[in-house]
Amino acid sequence: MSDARRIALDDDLDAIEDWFHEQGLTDGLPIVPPTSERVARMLAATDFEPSDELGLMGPKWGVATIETLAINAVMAGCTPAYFPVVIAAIQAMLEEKFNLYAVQATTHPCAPLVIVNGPLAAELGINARYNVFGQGFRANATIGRAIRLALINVGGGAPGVLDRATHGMPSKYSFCIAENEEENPWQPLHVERGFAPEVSTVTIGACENPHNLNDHISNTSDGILTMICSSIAAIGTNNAYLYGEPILCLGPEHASILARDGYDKTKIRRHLFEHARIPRVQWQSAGMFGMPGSGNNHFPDADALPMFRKPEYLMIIVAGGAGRHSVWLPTFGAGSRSVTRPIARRDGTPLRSTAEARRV
Amino acid sequence: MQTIEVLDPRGALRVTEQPLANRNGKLARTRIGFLSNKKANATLLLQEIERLLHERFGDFEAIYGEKGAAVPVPPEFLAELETCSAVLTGMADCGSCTSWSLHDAVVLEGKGIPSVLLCTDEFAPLARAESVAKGMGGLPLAVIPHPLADNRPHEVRTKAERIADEIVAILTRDASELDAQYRPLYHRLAQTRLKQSATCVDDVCIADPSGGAVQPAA
Repeated sequence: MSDARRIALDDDLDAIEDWFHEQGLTDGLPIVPPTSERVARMLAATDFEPSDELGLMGPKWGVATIETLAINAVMAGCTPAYFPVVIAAIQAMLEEKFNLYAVQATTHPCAPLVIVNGPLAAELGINARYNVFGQGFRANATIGRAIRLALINVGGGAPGVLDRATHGMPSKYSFCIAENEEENPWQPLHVERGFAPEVSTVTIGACENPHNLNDHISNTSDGILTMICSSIAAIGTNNAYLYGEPILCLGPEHASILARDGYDKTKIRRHLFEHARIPRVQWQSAGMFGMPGSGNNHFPDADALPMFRKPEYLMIIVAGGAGRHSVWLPTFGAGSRSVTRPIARRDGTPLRSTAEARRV
Repeated sequence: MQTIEVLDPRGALRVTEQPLANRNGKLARTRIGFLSNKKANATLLLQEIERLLHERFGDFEAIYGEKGAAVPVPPEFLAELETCSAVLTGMADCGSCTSWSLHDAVVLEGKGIPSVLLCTDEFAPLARAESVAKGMGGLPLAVIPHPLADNRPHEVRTKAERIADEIVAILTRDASELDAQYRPLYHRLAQTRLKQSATCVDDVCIADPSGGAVQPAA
């Protein structure tokens, strides 16, 4: 049974688009009109009840019902098969430790990045390779957009009102990738976090846009790691003072060189913890020195300060196509922790295929 | 023209209204909490206000605590703040720090502790909108011109002087009067900004269009 308010508009696409924009219900791009028929098809792709509530979404604290999320998923252009991923991502970002209340309102340019692992990524065509953070893939584009529209419409994240990002960033339109598990020489993210390889998951982190890490020349781990250390030890990122779980997204070619030289994720983390550091003199002279929770409390005697509080707090994934680039994604800081959840049925059973989620 | 029916994508709101804490009108010889999120000049502003409160009603015990800007007050210090007769919390001069400083003030009011949220006029509409969403739309805000972060000490002092009497009133006046006074404030600015950018129309800015008229020291 539908609880959503019904609105009668002139049956003219331009008029419908104008109405949604004027009401502040879009990200600025045209939407797919959420008719009852389209919303019903979206809802048929999950065994959740339309009235099921996933929680309250701050800072407006709107009730995130399955039906409301389906309406936003329709508007974003999702096919029904994508809907279980949207549901899992919203469940993840409503966990208290993600601190969506702060992530939505902050002046910092961050957004919930959705990383999909497991077999559903390929089934749904979620891109993990060339242009993984870019345009061109319907699943990446519309799953990420559905989440943004829910953040606007349910969470109240209107720019300059409840979303106070000073600059924002292009990734606030859509921010969804899959991990390139086939070319990952180590365990994929979800397996590292305790899930079976055949379980599909979403992981959410409050990330900035990807920052490029370019080294086309080095053929050894030494060269690549030196380049990464130098690029990520940056005083202007939140992580330099507020820590949290920044993400190193290695391109497959960089990952392959590191693996060939005997590096696994643990060894990379330890290396970057030790060597990607900001000299204390510089660290104390600028910015956010002295903020509660900052490194002075954790590393009072260090001559140089790390970019994450413990080696294991660095998240490492592999994604992207051919080419000698990786990317670094600074995050909001320790005020927001990453969350991994299975893409599952209503009873929590992980979905092996999105077809399983459909109502019979 | 034929019509088409579409569904509303906005989440329903389920707000439980909470009243402000009762004020008994007394602050002298009590304990007052000062909660700083260590944003630039936040602690200095609190210290200046403490000095001005001493001038106005003599002795009280001041206790200071710090917290992260993007997280709630830690439980151990919250317990200490619950022993206070009043709490001042700040600084709400960015997005996530406004959210969580406001949250702390709402929690304290709900526990019966009169509280003041110190915020800048730029972020007052955010604080007001969030206080409405949390069911405490009459939460008093002590508003100073934005920004605070780059102010020199004498400018911080001037801003403290401009809100000291208001803070005394917030902590001592009848709760229902305060609710009626503060509930309508800062809405218009937020609504204006939906349509056009940044025309300052709230009471603070009308009173002082220069953004505080803070003059450099002679």
